[in-house]
Amino acid sequence: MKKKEEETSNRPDNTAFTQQRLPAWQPMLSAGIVIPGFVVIGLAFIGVGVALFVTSQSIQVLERDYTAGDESSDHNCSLCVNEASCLCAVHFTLVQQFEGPVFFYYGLSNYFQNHRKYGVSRDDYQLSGDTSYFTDPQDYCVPYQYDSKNRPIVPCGSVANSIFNDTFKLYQIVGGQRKQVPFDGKGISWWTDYNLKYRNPSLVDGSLAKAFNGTVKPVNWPRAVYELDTSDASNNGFLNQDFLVWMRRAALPDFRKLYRRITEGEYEKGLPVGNYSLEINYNYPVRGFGGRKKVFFSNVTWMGGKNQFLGIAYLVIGSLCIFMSLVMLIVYAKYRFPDEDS
Amino acid sequence: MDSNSVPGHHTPTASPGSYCTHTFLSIQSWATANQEYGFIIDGATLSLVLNPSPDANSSRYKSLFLQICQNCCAVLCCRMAPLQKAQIVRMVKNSKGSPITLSIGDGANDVSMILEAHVGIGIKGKEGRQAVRNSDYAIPKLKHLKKLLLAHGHLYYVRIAHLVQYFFYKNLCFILPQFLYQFFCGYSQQPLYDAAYLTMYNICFTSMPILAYSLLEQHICIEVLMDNATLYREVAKNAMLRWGPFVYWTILGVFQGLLFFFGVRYLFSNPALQDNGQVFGNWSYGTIVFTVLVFTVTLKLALDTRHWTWINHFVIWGSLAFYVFFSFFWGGIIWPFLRQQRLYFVFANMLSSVSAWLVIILLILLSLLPDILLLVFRKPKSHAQQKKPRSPAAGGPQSPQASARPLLMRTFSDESNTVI
Repeated sequence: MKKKEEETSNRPDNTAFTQQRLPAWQPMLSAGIVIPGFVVIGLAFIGVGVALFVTSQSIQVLERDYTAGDESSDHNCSLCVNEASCLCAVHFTLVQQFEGPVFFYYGLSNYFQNHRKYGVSRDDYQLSGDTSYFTDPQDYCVPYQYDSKNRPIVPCGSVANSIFNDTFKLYQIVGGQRKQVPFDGKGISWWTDYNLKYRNPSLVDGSLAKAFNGTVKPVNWPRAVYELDTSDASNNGFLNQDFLVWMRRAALPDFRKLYRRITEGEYEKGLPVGNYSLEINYNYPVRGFGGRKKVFFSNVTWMGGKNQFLGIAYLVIGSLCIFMSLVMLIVYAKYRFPDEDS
Repeated sequence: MDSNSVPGHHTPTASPGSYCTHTFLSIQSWATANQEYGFIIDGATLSLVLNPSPDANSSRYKSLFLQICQNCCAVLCCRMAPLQKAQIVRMVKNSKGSPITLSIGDGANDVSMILEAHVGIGIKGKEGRQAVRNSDYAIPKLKHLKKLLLAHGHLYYVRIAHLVQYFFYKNLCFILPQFLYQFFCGYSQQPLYDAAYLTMYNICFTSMPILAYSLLEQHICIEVLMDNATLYREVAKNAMLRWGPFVYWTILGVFQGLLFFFGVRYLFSNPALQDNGQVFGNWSYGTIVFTVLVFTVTLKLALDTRHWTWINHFVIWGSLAFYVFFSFFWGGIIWPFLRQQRLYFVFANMLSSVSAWLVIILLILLSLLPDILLLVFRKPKSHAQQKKPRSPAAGGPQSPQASARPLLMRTFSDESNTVI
């Protein structure tokens, strides 16, 4: 009796897990699953690819590079070679109606918003409205932390300081007269940025300006943050739409950012055929680092802006899948029939 | 089996050296006749061979003896002292090709041999516990050696080789996009992925599936392994960790890393990916790449898994679900301890863009395509004899090699296939 107990007590666990007896499913792929599978995937991808390609082709884009220094028939921005507070204009003609709603982007190239030191140079506590950081900005903002007179900068850091400050006005030339096309600047930044992530400090005596007492504007800004938008009181402080769009760092050195939308009045359906003049307040210097400035007019669809890559990629991969399934079918047929004969 | 045995019994008059040479030359001449030989030697003779007198010829005895043994298919050494057993093992260990040696014994006189070999197995038997105490593995009866070697040994090897290759591979495709990004961010060491993703990738998102694989995987089920001893040869000489498989895994990792990065790079040539015209930033870029990465490496493991228990299902789908859940959770709250709210709402925003979904699906499928094609077109290495065929379905009579058919030739009644 005792010996039997001893023996059984030394036995290892006899569970399904420890004895590798767990019930299992062993996938058994065969030709009957794989070939139809590839065909289905191939067809689905080709379908999606066609949809993407057709949609992308239907998106209209108008792009103009207006960097000073180039002689061009489209624009006279070579006037602005000094790149400081200069007015210039880009002219273009639409031969076809530009379908609405039209989105207007500005683009920069060779501009590394994704540079690490640049990107960490910001104070998210200030931007969430925490006034204790108004008097004492974080060290990451150096050298845009305090100004020469040792006053704290709000919003501090390189990202905020380098905000894009060219402004644009679009005019349609109708019968020799310039007619302004209204721009809509609402909702160009992420909803969560505007409503949750960035918060203005609490008003002091009902005034936003007073909440920023004791601070100074960033070095390169023309006006302080609480008066960024003189026409719309709600578009000030950190909740300025252009500011929020700028603070979302671009992924690549060639990028574009949304500036305005054309959705109001008679331009709701789009820009009609005709001559247009885009007046630019050219402030932002880019020639020093070999950068370029561009503007884009674009439609937007369910897939976003114009990009041929996805459509073509889906078509190519879909075709590849169909081709592979044909190869498999040939291999299957070729080796199966000799088997059955013998 | 047509075998001859060559006795190595010590006769007082003949010198061991000349006898060895004679025997070896004989075997060499007989070896071409495709015969198999066995060799029997006793301890006393062995001591003369292995510990020779200081004599000009005596150093050759050992190498001659070794060559004889290598040319025989079985060698029987009897009446040996414990030290001699260890000497034999050491001699084989140090021979050309450095083979991996296994010793099995049940008595105290086997201890030195068990310690000497690479794998020492002790049998817990009548002769006491000494062998067991000094062994790597202990079994109650000699017959258990078969399962230990053919089933467990084979499975452990496959599991651990796959684990090692998988770990290098998944880190290669993790870091390559990060490396490539440096060419696009002014070489400023800007991380492509958010810090939380960097921290959690290896332990939280991709470790559980491979853990379950390395505990449970049976690429060929145990019954088949036991019945077909020749399958053991498939993992001989460290087959799964040679240059060939390693280069394959490395090239796969590089291919996928390049695909992830440049696939999203070309998507971002126009970063307005949402239907409201808004533009994605650099954290969205990194999150798309990271999502594709996590799904690809996990689904690659799912493709490699041939033995799906409930645990495998749980960890594979669970890891993916955990990744999604964590992304929502991390990006859904403004964390007070974070200096920068980089990933706030980025994941959810990414999912609201149809283009992002489409590029994720495309890149996952394209990355896994080489593996899928390999699975379909690969010919199995050996022909396994099936002793327990399932009842045939529509395929007619089963041939003995049915389980080893290439995928395209299989019917539904075939057994599972082997893997790399």
